[in-house]
This record gives sequence, structure tokens and C-alpha cells, in this order.
Amino acid sequence: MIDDEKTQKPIPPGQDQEYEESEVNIEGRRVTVRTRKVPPLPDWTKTEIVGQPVPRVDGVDKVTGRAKYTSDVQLPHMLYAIAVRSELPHARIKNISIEKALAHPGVHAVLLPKDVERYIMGNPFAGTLPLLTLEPKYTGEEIAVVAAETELQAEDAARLIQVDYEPLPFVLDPEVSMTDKSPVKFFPEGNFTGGGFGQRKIGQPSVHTRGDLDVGFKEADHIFEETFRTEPQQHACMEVHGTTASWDGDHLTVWESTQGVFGVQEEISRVFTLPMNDVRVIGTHMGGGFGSKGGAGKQTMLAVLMARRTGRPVKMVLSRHEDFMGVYRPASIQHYKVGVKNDGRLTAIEMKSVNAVGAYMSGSMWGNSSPMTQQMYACANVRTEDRAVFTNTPPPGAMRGPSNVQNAWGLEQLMDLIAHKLNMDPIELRMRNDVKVDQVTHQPYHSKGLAECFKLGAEKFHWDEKRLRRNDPASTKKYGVGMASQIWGGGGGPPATAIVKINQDGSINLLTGAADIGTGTRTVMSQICAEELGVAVDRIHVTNADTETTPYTLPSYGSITLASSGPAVRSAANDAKRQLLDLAAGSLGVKPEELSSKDGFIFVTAQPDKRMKFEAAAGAMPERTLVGRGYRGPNPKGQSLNAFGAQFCEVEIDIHSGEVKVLKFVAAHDSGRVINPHTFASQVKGGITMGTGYALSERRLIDKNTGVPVTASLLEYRPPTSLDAPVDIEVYSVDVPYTANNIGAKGVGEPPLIATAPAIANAVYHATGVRVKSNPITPEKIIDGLKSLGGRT
Amino acid sequence: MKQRRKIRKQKAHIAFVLNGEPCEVAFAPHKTLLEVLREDLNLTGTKHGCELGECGTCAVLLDGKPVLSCLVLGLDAEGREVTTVEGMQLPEGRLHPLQETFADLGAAQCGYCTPGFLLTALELLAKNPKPTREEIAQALSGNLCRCTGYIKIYEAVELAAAHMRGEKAEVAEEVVYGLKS
Ligand code: FES
Ligand code: FES
Repeated sequence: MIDDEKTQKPIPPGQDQEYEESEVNIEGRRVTVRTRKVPPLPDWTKTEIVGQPVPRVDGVDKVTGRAKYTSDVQLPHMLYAIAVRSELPHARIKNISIEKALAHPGVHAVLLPKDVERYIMGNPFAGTLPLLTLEPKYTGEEIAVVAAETELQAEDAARLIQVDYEPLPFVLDPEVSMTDKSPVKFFPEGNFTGGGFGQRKIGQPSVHTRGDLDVGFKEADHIFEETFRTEPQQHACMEVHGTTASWDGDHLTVWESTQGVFGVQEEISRVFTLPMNDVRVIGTHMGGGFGSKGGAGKQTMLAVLMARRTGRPVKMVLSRHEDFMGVYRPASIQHYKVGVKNDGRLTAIEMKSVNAVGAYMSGSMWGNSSPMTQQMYACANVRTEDRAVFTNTPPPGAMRGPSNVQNAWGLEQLMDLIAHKLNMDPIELRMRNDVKVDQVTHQPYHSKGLAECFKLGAEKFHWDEKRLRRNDPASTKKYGVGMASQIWGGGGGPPATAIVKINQDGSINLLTGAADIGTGTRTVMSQICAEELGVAVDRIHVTNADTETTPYTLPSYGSITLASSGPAVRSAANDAKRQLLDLAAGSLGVKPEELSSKDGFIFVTAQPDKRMKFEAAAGAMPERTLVGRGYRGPNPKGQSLNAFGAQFCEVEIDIHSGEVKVLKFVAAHDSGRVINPHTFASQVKGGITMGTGYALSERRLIDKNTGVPVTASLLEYRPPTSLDAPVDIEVYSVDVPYTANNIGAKGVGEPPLIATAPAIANAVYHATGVRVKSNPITPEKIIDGLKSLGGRT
Repeated sequence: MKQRRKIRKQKAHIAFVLNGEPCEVAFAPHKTLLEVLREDLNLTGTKHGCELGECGTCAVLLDGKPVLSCLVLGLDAEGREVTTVEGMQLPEGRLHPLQETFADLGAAQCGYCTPGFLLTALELLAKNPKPTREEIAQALSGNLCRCTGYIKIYEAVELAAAHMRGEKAEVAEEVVYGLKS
């Protein structure tokens, strides 16, 4: 994690020239980091391996069951730890009796709040979380933890721990919590704070403002006032959160299903005051993250502590039910007031959002839903207010496209609504409000391929034709099309380091700290390394996400993995190559600059038949191993680095049942160079499917009377199955050149999910005339909408 | 001493055929087949995603039929044939066509759901060598995947089916380069 304190560290004297400042945008948060200057490498013009649909380098491990995930780690004498969780949404605990649990066969230890109170997770900026608590503030909050020899013994023992609760009043609805009527006071100054990454103050929203709203609304020919709502979304990774911790003397090894081993290492080292070299975190294979596994979890710390206490390795993997009481995308309520000219130009946007962020400060970072409102369209007069409101629900966290996904649901439907009102093509409306300069930072975009996405997507989708198609009034099936657009970060940045080792037989080890959370990191990093070295991908073995054997890199969140670690990998490969060419130059009797490396040969560029095999050059290395180091250099100054995209969809709606079927999606994305079409398309298809769930089926409900989650299982929560997912998704890259880093790529992990749900909602409107302003779009909402239209379709 | 005798009494002992080979194993009798495979036989290719029968990551074949191993007691495997992902490979360690196409096409992203899909698809192709896309979607509807969006999984099953029928088949290229093409 980059935190503000760290970015302020003074530069060691004498090294100033080697370092410079660089802006990095992570999940919408801009931070400035000091980074090593890196000699620029020429842009790749023609590539042989980069850009090819190379199969995943770990595909065979995954299809044979060989890939070991955190939940698969089995160690001799390992204990299983299980948390005792609050059954009430808010309570004071008067007593915990553990005697029966301790006497239960196989039980080794119980940890109580008093045993762990000196270990605090988080930091003052992000907000802190107690590991165990005597005053639970949401159902499912951890109270105690028990470790036993088998899972069943641990479960039974957890049940034998008797907790005496004194129930306290609770509040679930953010709109109630914000008022005087709230039965709970979270802070004396109020029950909300600013949402997002900026300075937050309790009792005050976070505000972005520019221009003058009054002037803007006066200029407008039309004023639209609308409210949109989004429900919480759960990550529902197929591998739930989990940790296995094992001490060997003072050396700790932690297997963690995580998006960033270094963040977990830092947090463990800080919480327990351990030297970092004694904390090894391994996260090589992991079963999905989607933002939920950005750092250490409470179970990480509890497993480490329990392993210390018992002297045995401890595994703490949550159950699916517990997973549903954990992190999620927060709910939002978005009030908009927008002024528009007859020609479609926006004159003023006022947006107030209310975001339910759980009972702790930490959740408020994710409690904003206005970044797209601020950034997406040209508008001189804008004011956004985000309120992160405390509620007795679990703390939310980052989820794939945090804030923008919620924001797009409202904003992109609003644009559609305006377009219909002005009788204008929604693409045309968006183009009239297109910008080349970041509206918030006033920096130009390094590259922006949104217009290209509109053009290509519309063409492939046959937008013009389908948009004008009319439904057969006699048919109970209605068809409609909709589109939406998106912006996201994805430019990545430092710090990231990579190491490339060339062995004496010409085989290569690539060491990168980057996590592969299913995105294909290992594969694309191998391609980048192979391209630069001029060898085949299968010559490279990649080791990743292990704090002991791989160098630091930022976590895999914010769609930054490729654009952060990729350039470091290319630099490291280049460093190794230069050293090898130096050696080869001697044998070939030329200067190193005259040499190239390609297809497994090192040859004189002007005279390609004067060559030697790559492994022959490696075999002549006096050191037997050659080590190339590479660092991620700074981002270009004064520019905004963003990925863009547009999605088009077609739906079929049965007006009797209200059922929505997504027939087709066309997605056109601007993410710079595509390193691997397979992994690129996978991100887009998976993102659209997750967005379809957000639009149509996924719903986390908490019982209003008891504060207990009622959709805490996959069956009730309903992520899309094979029968719900779109059957036809076409994926396009617009290939707009991008030169802000040495591989020419921006991220594509989160962008595909942002435009999906509003595109579906817009298509539903197009098909039926029903504007569904709250997700999910259930059959009941459609039927009710049709009823209130009076059967107009 | 006393305690050890007690533990021995508590263990169940079964013999069954695991991935084509005879196998004997002792385990606490309450354990599910999933737990026996993962914890007592150290075959962790079979995943647990919910242990409630909702996700399909634990699917294995029991006498050739797909079952959710989290809902089957280990004891129920007595005398029967169990196939897990570790047993899918062909002689000489060659990959099964399904494994090959899942790996080649990127039908495994994080890969956590993959073993369950592979075994469900294996049984589908055993009874229906040429399934339609709808039949595949139906057959796989008990297996959740949060990463892929399923399309690549269908393509992998279709391609493997074609290979198993001895046909040559290719999957259409997926990313069409907009401005260049
Ligand atoms: S673990 Fe068996 S269905 Fe989920
Ligand atoms: S590949 Fe990750 S859940 Fe299917």
C-alpha cells in the first residue's frame, strides 16, 4: 500500500538526480511517489510475441489440479481456526465463557478481545479495525477465535463458546442514520463523513466544485432531476478469503489468497513489529479477488497470532456464509440535477450521493459515487457531494471499478434519459460533451480512444439500424438496445521492480512480485520478457507474488498490474539482454550496439547470418548466472492516464413475466496495446458477466428487523450462472497508440464492468419504456413499470 | 493409550477405486468425500467453494456420474469408483482433450472453478459427444465461475468434443482489431 506518510520520505542526499516524482492513480486515488528514473526504451513497433494469443503459461497447472491455492495448503500438525461472530448487528458483550470450548477434544486455544487488543489493523488515514471486539457493530463481526485439530472440532468449540449480549439499538438504512432519528450515534459530530480518498471530516460531505451552478442552471434549456439507487455487490470469489500461517522459529510464512503479497507483508510486519525479512507472504495462485483481497484481512492477523500462541501452523479459511458477511461494494443513493442546452451541451451538474459504509471509518474510503460525474463530460459548472454514512453493516471495500460502477448506473442512465428527451442519439449526446482534458485535474489525457470506441462499437453492433427498429405491438417479446460508456484509471505506475535471470543453459527465470488473480499476469509478463529478450515464451519460468523471492510491486488492484509491473519486466529483460550482448559481442567480434536478439539467436543486425544461439552466448557467461534488474519508471508529467470504453447491448423482455434476457454485448475498449488477445477478451467477457449480475440478479439483503444478512449464500445472492450470463459477447480493442510506458498498455481489469449495468438498463428502457432506476432490474420492477405506463407499449 | 484407542474406533476405513487405482483410506466418519479427498488423500485438485452444494467447485465423478463431493459422505464412496481432476490425464501423462482446450483457450482464469467444470463436462461428453451450446450451458449450470463469463468454457468444451470425435476444429479468433482491420 502506498500511504501518504511514505510518499513524504526525504530523498537520500546525492541521489536527487536519479529520482523524480510521478503521479499514480490507484482506484481513483492519485498519489505522488518518488521513483527511480529509468532509461527509456524505444516503443515496440513490430512485435512477435506481444500481441499474440499465447496460451496461459500456468494453464496446465490449473487444469490438472496441480496449482496450489491458499485453501489447499496442508501442513503437518496444522490447526484450524474459526471465529465466533456476533449474532446481533449492535451489542455490548457482557461475558464470554470459554471453559466448555477449551475442554472440547482437539481444542488448542481460544483468543479473546483482550488477548489481541494491542494489535490494530489499518491506519489513521484509512481507518482502523479491531481484530476482535466486545462491542460488535454489525452481524458477523469477530468476537473470539478458536483453534482445534480438525475443522469440525473447531466449529463445535466455537458453538460451545457462550457469548452474553446486551443488545443495542442499530441502524441499517443510511437515510435514517443521517437524520436525528437515528437510534445510533457513531460519532459525536454525526453519522456520516466525506466519501472517498480525500481529507474526510465527520459531519461533512466530500465536495468537488467548479464553476457556478446558478449560472449553469440559468443557461440550461432543460433541467433534469433524477434519483438512482444501487444495491451492495458482493465479490463472491470462488475461493473465499483465507490464510495459512506457519512459524519456523521467528520466521513466519503466510499463504494468503491475496491481490498483493507486499501489502500483506507490510501490514503483518507493522501490526506485530516484525522485521520484513522474517515475514514471507506467498500468494502465487489465488481464486479470484475483484478488489476484496487487496490487503491483509482480519483472518490473516488472527491466523498469525493463533499460530504463535499454539506453536502449530494454523489455517483460517472463511466459510461461504462468513464470506457473505465480509467486504462488498457499498450501496448508493444518487440525486442528480442536470442542466442541458437544446443542442445537448451540459451546463450544470449537481450530484449528491449517500453511500452506506458500515460502522467503521475504514469503509468511508469507498463511500463515494461521483468520480465519473466529475470527469466524464465537459461541464463548466459542477458540484458533487458524497456522504459516507455509517450503518450497522460490515465494512465495505474496493470492488472492481469502485465508485465508477455505482456512478455509471446513475450517470449513464441519465445521459440516456436526456438523449431520449432531446430526441438525440445517445452517442451523439456523449460526443457533444466529449473532453480531451481531464475536467478535474485540467491535465490533457495522454490518449483517449473513446470516440473510436463509439465508432467501432456502433458499427459492429449495427447500432444505427437496431436503435430505430420498432417492436411488434402484438408480440409479448420486446427487444431493445442500449449503450453506455466509461472511464477508469489503469495507467499504473511505480514502484515496481522485476528481476530477470539468465542461466548458463539459456533458460530464464523471471521474478516479479505481481499477483495473478486470474487475469493472466504470469502469462503477459512472460510474453513481455520473451519479446524483449528475443526468445520463446517457453524458455521462461515465472515466479510471482512471493515476498521472499520476488521484488516489490504495487498490489493488483485499480487495473494497474500490467501497466505497473509490465514496464519493469521489460526493463529487467532489457538489462539482462544488454549484458548478454556485451558478452556475445566479444565472441562475434563486433560492438554490442551492432547486435540484436530474436528467435533464440543473437546476430549482427546488419548481417543476420553472423549469429550465435542464445544459449551459446549464455553458456559463455563467466558468472554462470546473469541478473537483469528493471524498475518501473515515472509516468509522463502533467497528463492524465485513463482507459476508456463503450458497450452496446441488446435485450429481450417478456412483458408477461418481466424476465430480461441479454442477447448480445459488443464491447469496444481503449486500453492501449493488447498484450494478449485471450487474456484481454477474458477480462472483458468476465467483467460484462459480473455487470450483468449487478444489473439483473445480484442482491445483498439484510433483514430490517434483525440486522442479519438473508442472502448470505450463493444460491440466494445469485451471481450469474451459465444460464444467466450473456451468451454472445464481442470484444474489440480500438488500438489507439499509447506511449506513457514502455509496453504501450493500460489496464483492462475493471473497465469492462463499469458500463455494463447501465447499458442493460438503457436497453430495457428502449424495449419497454420502463426506466428502472434501482438495481437489480427484477421482473417485478418491469411489470410494475409497465403497469404504471398503462400498457403503453 | 486410552485416548488413542478411542481415536482408532472413531475412524472409518473404506476401500474404493480412485482414479482407476484401488485405494484404502481411514478418516473420521463424519467427513464428506470432499474432505476425505483433500485432507486424508491430499488430492487438493478438487476445490471447496461453499460446502453447501451451491457452487460446483467440488464436483467429482462417482461411478461416472457427477456429484458434489461436499454433499457426499466419504463413507458412501465405499466400493465405488471416484474420478477427480487428478485422474483425468490419459496414459503417459497426456492431457485429456478437455484439459488441453481449457488450458489453450484460457477457459481457466483464476482456475478455482476449473476442476469442477472439467469433470462435469467430462460426463456430459461421455453421454453426448456432440452437445449444442444450450446443452452445454444446461449441463454446466450447477458450476459457478466468477471470472470467465462462461463463453470460453463453452468454446473449450465444444473444441474438446470435436477433438474427441476425431474432427479438426478451430475456434474463431476473438479480438478483432478495430482500427487496423
Ligand atoms: S463446495 Fe460443493 S458445491 Fe460448493
Ligand atoms: S476461473 Fe475463476 S472462478 Fe472460474
